[in-house]
Amino acid sequence: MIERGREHSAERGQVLELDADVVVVGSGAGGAVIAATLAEAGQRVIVVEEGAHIPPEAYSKMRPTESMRHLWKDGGLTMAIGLGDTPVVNVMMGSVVGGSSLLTGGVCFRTPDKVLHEWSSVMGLSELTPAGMDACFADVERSVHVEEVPVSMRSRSTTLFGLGLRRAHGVELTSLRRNTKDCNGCGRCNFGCPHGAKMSVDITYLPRALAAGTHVLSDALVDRVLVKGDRAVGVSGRLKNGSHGKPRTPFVVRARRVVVAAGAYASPLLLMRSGVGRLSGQAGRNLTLHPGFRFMGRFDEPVLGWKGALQSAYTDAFADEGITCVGLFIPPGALAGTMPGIGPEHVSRAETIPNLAVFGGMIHDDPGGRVFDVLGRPVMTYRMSRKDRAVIPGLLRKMARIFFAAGAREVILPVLGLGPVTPDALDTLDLEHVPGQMLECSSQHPLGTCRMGTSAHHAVVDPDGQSFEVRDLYVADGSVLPTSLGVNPQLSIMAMATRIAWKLRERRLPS
Amino acid sequence: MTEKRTYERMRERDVGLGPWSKRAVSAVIEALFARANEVDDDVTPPPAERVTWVTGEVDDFLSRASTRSYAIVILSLVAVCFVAPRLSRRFTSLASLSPKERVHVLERFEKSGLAPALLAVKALLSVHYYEHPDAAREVGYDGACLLTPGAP
Repeated sequence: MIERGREHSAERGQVLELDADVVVVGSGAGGAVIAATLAEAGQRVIVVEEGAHIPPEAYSKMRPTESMRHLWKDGGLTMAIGLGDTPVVNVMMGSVVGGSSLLTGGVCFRTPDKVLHEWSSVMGLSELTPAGMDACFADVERSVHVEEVPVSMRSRSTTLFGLGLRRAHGVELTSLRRNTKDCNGCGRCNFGCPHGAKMSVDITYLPRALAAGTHVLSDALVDRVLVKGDRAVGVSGRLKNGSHGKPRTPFVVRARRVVVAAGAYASPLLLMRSGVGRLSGQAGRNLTLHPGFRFMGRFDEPVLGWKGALQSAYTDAFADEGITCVGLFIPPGALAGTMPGIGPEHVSRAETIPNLAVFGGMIHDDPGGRVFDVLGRPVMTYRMSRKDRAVIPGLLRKMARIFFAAGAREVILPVLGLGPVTPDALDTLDLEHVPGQMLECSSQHPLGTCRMGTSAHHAVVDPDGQSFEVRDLYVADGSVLPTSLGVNPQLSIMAMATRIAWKLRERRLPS
Repeated sequence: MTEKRTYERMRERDVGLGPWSKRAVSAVIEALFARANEVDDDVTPPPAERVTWVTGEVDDFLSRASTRSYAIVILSLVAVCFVAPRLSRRFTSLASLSPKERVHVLERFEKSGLAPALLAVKALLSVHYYEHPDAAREVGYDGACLLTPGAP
């Protein structure tokens, strides 16, 4: 059953009280997996989600900006404040039943072996080996129908980048894997699939959870985890049923176990507001973002980059430098919004959109961000390490040269105020001294703010996802990943949640 | 009940743009998307109907945004409307300048260290502007998948 908190009518002063074996905070890639797995094991599960319940038949008909209004957190305007010589990073997240999984391009990477070896060997998380995680990945891949994108679905934009990559570096693009079924490549995955072809959790795990008796409460903002002694015993919050959808009616969910899966932005804040995570001082710290940059190459030929899969291929040829390049396309308005120029200059550039190829590059970053409260308002800051910051000029040149090798006339780099760059001009550009605040940077992958570890001194949760400080309080989302991955994290988050859910399924519920 | 109203109930309207900010948004749209008019060396703003539609969409967007997003956009708009003219030694608001003057003022602002404020406004207006089917057509976009119900 899905109950919309917004439509709940209650007298002033009345409290909505619910009872469950397990309460899950958040219904995205982590929470939905936990709910389905535990409900199918016979446990009574309540999922509490801050966002609204918007069914596929409604979001499939939305224009991109309508999707931003109704499905995205803060309408897509959440920012990480850049500290030092770090750009401001636009961090995009979902706020809806199903979470960010509704808004991904569907890209599914297993956690790279190199990263798993670091977790298991260097960080002491001995179970997180490629072999140890294999069953979790396989289970998720079956559940969300992970398949390789056929070469025939590549857009001309991606094909041109591939041509440049081959000419400049002698490397071929590799096909991505995505959680799709019968995708027709209409290129608007980031706003909710209009055809039900993306196997996001709202049409995979959540229906399973609902069929097994899970109760989903949407429009419900959790304020704190209830702790009695050293045990978590539920959550409390407010339904967003006040005027203009503001929080009003209080609710309490009493449960024998609490799983927080609200994402790397909200989960640490909830823990800190509940007085958890102070022992290590690590809650909210160690944020990684995979800071991403988009590059556009203008070609003489019509590219029509929106025709084909939104994301179909990538290259890890520069992984040793901490760079992963992933194909993408963005709606014309979003492309135009990042183009330099005003008035006639802007319009003439926008008219070249059909001739633009687009590709993205992201950095496998060190932890440098933080999420915390200031006067009750969440704040996110991000300071790039020197190593990561030093990668950016090289990334900009590399991507430009790849487009030029494919025959691009000019390239638009993610530098504010910088016009299109020609091949000759690239060599004379002083990209090494572009100030951080003039770089246009975005992220869809906040991770690591409640990281998993072996000691309460440097981590928030233990290797099973349980808080070091409060028993029966678990975290199961991107915030527990111990480091960044260098690749899109959707599958890693779901596999980690599966692993934690399997542990919970075997663990007796407290009386 | 129409489909639009069905999901309007899912994230309800709060305060959107006020009279000042509506005028400011329209003024930026008229400059940002103006075309060259070679006959009299001037610029031609987009059709008034389109400016009104985009302003209405931005109003609706902000009425459902969080307080933080709303504040970011309004502060950026204030910078664009009052600080940008001063960088070009024009001691008035952007809206009181002619569209051609606004273009010059914003061009200079875009190259200044305050460019991120303009980027925020420009990105927000562009994503709405190019959802208008005529605007999308004018730049050669024919991807029907993004132009779904709700557009004029």
